[in-house]
Amino acid sequence: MKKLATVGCCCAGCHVAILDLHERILPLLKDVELSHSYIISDVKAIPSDLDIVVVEGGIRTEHDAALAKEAREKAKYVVALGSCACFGGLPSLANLYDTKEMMNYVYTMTPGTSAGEIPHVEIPRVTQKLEPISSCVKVDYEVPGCPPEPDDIALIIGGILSGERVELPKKSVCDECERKRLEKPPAKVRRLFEEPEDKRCLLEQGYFCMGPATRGGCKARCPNSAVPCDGCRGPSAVSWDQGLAMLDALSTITYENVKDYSLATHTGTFHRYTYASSLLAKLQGLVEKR
Amino acid sequence: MSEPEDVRIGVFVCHCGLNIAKTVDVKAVADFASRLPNVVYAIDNEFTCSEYGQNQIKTAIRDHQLNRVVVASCSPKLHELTFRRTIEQAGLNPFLLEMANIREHCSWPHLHEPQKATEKAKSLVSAAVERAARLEEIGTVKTPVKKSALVIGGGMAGIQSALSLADYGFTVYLVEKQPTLGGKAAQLGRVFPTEDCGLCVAPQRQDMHRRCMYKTRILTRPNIKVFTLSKIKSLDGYVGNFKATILKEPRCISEELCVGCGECETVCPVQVPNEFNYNLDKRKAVYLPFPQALPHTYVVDRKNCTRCRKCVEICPTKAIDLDQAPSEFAVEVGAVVVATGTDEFEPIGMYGYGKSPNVITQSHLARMMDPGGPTAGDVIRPSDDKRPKRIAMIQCVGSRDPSTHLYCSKICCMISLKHARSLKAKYPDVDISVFYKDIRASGKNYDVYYEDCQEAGVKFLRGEVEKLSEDSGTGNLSLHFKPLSGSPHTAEFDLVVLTNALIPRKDTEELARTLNLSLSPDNFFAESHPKLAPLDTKLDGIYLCGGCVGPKDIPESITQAMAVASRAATLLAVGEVEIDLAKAVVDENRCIGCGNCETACPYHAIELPQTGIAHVIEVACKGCGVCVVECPTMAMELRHYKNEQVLAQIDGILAG
Amino acid sequence: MERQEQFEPVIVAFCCWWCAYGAADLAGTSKLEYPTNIRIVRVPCSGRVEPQFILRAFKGKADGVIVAGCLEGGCHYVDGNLKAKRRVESLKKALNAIGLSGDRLEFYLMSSAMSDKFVEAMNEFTERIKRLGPSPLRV
Repeated sequence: MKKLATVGCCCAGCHVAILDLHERILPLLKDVELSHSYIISDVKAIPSDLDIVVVEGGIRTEHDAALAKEAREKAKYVVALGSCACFGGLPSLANLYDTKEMMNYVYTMTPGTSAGEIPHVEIPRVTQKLEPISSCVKVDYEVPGCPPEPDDIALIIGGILSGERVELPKKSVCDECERKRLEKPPAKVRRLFEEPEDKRCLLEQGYFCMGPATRGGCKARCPNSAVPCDGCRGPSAVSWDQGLAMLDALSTITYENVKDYSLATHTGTFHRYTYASSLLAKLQGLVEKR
Repeated sequence: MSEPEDVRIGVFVCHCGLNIAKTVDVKAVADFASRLPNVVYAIDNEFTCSEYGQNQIKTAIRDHQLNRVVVASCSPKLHELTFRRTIEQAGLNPFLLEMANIREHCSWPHLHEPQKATEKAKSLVSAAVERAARLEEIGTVKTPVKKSALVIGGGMAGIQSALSLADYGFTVYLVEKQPTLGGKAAQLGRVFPTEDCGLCVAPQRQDMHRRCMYKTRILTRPNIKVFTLSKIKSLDGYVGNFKATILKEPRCISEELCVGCGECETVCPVQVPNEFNYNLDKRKAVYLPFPQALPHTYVVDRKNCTRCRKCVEICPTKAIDLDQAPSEFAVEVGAVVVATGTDEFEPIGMYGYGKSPNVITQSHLARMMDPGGPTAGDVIRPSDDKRPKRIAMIQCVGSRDPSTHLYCSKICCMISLKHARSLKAKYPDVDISVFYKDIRASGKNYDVYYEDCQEAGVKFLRGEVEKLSEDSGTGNLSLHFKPLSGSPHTAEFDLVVLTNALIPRKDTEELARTLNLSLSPDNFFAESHPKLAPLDTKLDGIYLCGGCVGPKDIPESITQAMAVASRAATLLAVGEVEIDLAKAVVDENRCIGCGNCETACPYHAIELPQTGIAHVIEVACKGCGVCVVECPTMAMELRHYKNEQVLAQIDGILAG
Repeated sequence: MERQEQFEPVIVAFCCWWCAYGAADLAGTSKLEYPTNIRIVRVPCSGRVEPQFILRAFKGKADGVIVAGCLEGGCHYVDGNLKAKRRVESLKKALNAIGLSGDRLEFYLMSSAMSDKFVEAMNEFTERIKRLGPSPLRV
């Protein structure tokens, strides 16, 4: 019986994704024992002789780093689960700001906070930057998504158990989207509250849909429901930088109509889930290291 | 694509006599190059482009089994082709050559900094070596060319180019929007400098007598197919293989059956202003546009026809069908000629035009002076049909004018001189004053008109007509004139003729969109290069001639029409187009069919077929690489300028 | 060799083959002088310049990057230069946000006959980079 553990450093949404397998989790549990699981089970210590450890969340504190290293030491295979673990995820947008200023703002200056203070008693120290798991330890498999597809999780774990080589789909969300491209893109940027046309490509109508630069495999649920894709599954496997790829692809729409470019705003759209692993962030890191 | 297993680069650093060697230490550069990765041979030589230098390269390729060559010398703009041929002769694919520009970009602009120039040369060679290691073989492909042409526009330029192309033996499809061929020339009456009928078109090769358009037998030439009342609905394809859809509006009268008897016109009860004669007279709703119309077939004006069917009943050959529908024709051609001509600027609101009846344009005057026109050649005032005694002509109306068009319309001076001379000949006592900025009579035998006018007593007044006011009683017009030198004064005339500008046709933008052509800033069609390629466009296989490129006279239009036939014939006669494959290429596994590339391509060289995978039409691709950057999944690459090739160059420059 | 007081920047200039490269050639032929710090990389069109090329140059410790293309309305490939201009404008702001001055990146327009404009641009940009100092990536 193989041993599987899951550890988490984040919102636990990815763990909920595991549970979303519902009864499909039962066939997995025939071959593997859930020796330790953040939130799901109550075992406190991480056992040593694990076959697979699934790590959720990015490295934000020194505790997270220690946890990731412990997982790596104790397991044969490390799976980075969710966009935070794979690319940094939403929280990595914090890398745009100075950490001290950020902590100060979050704990003392937000509207509605009175007499706040930055927690410091028995709290692990915050790292300078939020990084994906791979910055700390070697990762064997990645399951992207915010949250990831439950079936992807089962596929990867099943593959490791059986020894078969499994791959998650490599194309993009556009491949699974039912909307059709009719003609050339418009020159106007539209906001979500301006109701989109049915059945027609959202990007073409002027909505910032990250579909072309985002990895497929999610059945394009969002664009098929008239919500532009926000890129939660990270770059399609061949893209070098999801945000910059999308920026290039949107040359016509973006640059003519988005007059006030501010990196924070744009990054929030284009690098929403992948800032920590983007080329820009890497350059930023080099600049700050000086 | 990673480096091939066994890349063997040869580097040749040129002295170029002293041009490079005086500033750059070429021996040091060659020595530096010899120690770069993958370089197995590096020398310096005096003149690499010489016979001797090229042989050195060929020998080195053979003796050292080189499979990449770097030449550090002058600008590739000079000798890239030379050295590509050199290595091709030695058995290497010509695209396995890289050049480092250490002359125009190094030794020459840094004459006084030899040490820094040498360091820079090393850096440039390092970049070239890194790139050379990643260069790939690129082949060529031949695509056949259809031996037929499409001519859009049936005026002087269009007819001439169609005739010239047909003379070459090619099939020509001539498409004209109006019900008749002839264009603007049909409305001009006599033209300068030959004082013959405007519709006179170039003679056949064997026969140097003038032939009226009516007699050029253009309609019976077997290899010219004329489509009147037609326009281009769509144009797809690329050089040598265009597919056009022609949309023909219904004439409602059969071109085969109509014998031109005119009975239909006689019985038609509807009368409307005749636009051919600038509304000076009326025509019927079934009419022949003008006596020499070609095809000589009547046409139904469907907008004004009341469908009383009197014409249908009376037609002896039963040629009329009021319910005829539009039809479409698909043709495949190798080349396209655009000859759509110009429109006239309507100077509404200027100098009382549109308000005062006795302010007319030169075209209006031309129709009156045409013996076959609405007034049988008599010039009369619109307000009272009386003959004018004092005529003013105002030049540059709508031309050379910041508030309308900045350009000069080229032929207006000649139009006024022609009309003034003719008027004086016909009515010796008429008083004519020409108000002008400059007199431009620069063509062959043109200045004669100016001399003749002056001799005949035509007054030429240089300056600015500031104001015009009408005496509503007499209909006379007072011009307030500010001469170039002297004090302003007022003069009264009974007829004012405005010499109005030539402007691009109203449907130019629509046609440019259909054909994917560019427009110049003043909205005429844009030629590829005003000096070196005045009839080409940005798209291979599509050419321009005549007024649609810019205002011009008939001799120039005919010249351009004959020239454009030569341009098109060059393509069609060779019969095939050979291109190298340093073009964009799609990785089908990565393509998601988003269509960004199709939108980004300025040449429509990328199509997105049913398969959902983008496809590059290599013969139409110009290799700019914009599609590569706009592809969100890195499915598009540009051969010979692939990402990793450029990145390698950047790394090479910054190394060390 | 002694190290000079003033540092010598390394500037990578992406020049479009039809205009900017031609202007550079003409500058050379006319023996007009400009700083040796400029290293030209040939691209078919300024619109071919990917942001990753520019970032790669900065990552490789380039002190400044130039993208040079044809005049507005004069792009040999119709409008590639306009696309490049927009990308560069966006990237300049992005560079500012990550701590690399956006002034280290510039876009210049010129025709292939404008050797004087080329030289002026190279001089101006080199001076600018000298004032800004070495790239923060240099130790």
